Amino acid sequence: MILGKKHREAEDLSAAATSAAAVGRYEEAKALYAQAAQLEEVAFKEIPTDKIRTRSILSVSVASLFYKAQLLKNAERVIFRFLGTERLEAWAERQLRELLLVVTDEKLLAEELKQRYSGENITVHLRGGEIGSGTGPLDLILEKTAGFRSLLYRFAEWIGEYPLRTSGDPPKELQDLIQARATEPTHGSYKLEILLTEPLQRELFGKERVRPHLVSDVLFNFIGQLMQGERDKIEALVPEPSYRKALLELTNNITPRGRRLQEVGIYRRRDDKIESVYLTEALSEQIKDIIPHKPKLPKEQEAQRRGILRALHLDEHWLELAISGGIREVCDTVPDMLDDVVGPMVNHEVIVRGPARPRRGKNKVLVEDIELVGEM
Amino acid sequence: MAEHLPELRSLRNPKHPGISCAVNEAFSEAAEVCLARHHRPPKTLLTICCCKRDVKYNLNWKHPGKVAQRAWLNRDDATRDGAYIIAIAVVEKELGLIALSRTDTRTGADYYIGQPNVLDLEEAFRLEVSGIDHGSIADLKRRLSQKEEQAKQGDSCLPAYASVVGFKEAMVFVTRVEDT
Repeated sequence: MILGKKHREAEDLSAAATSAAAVGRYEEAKALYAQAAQLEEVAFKEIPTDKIRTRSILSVSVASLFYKAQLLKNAERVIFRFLGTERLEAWAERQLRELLLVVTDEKLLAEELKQRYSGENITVHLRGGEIGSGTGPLDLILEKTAGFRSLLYRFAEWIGEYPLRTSGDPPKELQDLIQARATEPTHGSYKLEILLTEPLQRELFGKERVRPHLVSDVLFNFIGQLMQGERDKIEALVPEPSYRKALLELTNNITPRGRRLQEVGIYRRRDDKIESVYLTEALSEQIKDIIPHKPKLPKEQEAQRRGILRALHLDEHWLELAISGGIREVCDTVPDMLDDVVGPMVNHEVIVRGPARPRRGKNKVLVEDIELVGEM
Repeated sequence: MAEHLPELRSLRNPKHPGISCAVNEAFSEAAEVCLARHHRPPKTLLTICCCKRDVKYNLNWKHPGKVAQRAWLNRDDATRDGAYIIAIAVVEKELGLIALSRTDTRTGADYYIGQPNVLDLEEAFRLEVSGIDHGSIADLKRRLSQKEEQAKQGDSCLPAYASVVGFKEAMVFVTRVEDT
């Protein structure tokens, strides 16, 4: 048997590690992944060199297992070896290169965070697609930066128990809470440093409503639960549907979905450890499933339009779509549509849904849901 | 009278070398928890659309105990893992393929299926599976096309099958993703 005992043992250990991680036993999971990685590496060596596809599949597995065990140096070592000396299929080489970017990035980050960072800092790495080493398309970076700030403000407002804001800027006392800075480039990614500061003149506002570390805690908890697909925990964390919807939609806005960007890695230092959460394309589907929706309309009442969002005026409750063939259509919007969710979608392709209502002899759509098609 | 799919707990090593006893037990429990949300044991008639062939099979299952239900409180995990074992049952019955191996990727694990008694993964297919707890047939079809697209874009040139399992609708789609 070419895929022999060692590979089977590695499979079992990896499955056990996944189960341990799912219930929060992370140290045990790491130890199991480490054992699995070592066995998988032996299994790889046992496979004849002419079995290129089998070796390709296992090479990715070995490197991934070392990465999951947080043995970043080992992961780096095997990736260099696989890429440098092995004949592998193109898809495996591509996956190994992507993994190398992440490993290098996280290794450097771990060293940096130990040395330099203090206070509530969140580091955001944009990776893959059109992102290079410390460079990237300006529109993409600006959009993701603005999207991340919007999300953090919403978390801060929710923690501070502010009423849900449908338009306008965040409360004045929160506006200095979040500062975003671009930092030095790292290999294959664009890095932003987000500083969470104490609100200015907080003594003027009596009881302190928002502590920066809480904003960071809730962000990591929220995205962590989302990555695990923990719908119930998301609902328990943010019980109010309107706030939960806003936070999920804003998270969805910064989640990669397409070829321009593959991953957003979010890091912070906590208790001398590096914590990380990731936004990847797969998360978008998860978010769509969890977002609270209005009750489904009967089919004959529901309308859907697809087009480029060309204009909107949420205070006056309308938006305009450019539909193919030069047709423009103005739709009504519900009062609780949020401008920081919809605003960034302007000039991008969207799908809108809601009931069609007769207006001046025509059917006009009242937009209840708006969804971005492709990427921003 | 419809034929039966293989018993869920039979889908394991040594017949399916890529599924250990422990993983099989966990996945089978997950499938039963998901089925119990919408159907009653001892069997459910599943509508299968496998590579454009429509067929109906009965699936035998037993009611999950309280311990299993507590263990699978996380609805999304249960849906994902339960879908895997049902997709593999369909793949075995309809295509004669078995689970050969589970290998890790950075963000999860891939399952590889292939002919029985092969010794390596040279002719294996990647299996992309997605579960939907409650959703219409249109939702299942939409998810299938997303899965196909994902399998096409992601990691080709590996040939792949994509499968979507709908628990409420008791439907399973399996499709061969064209090589890119």
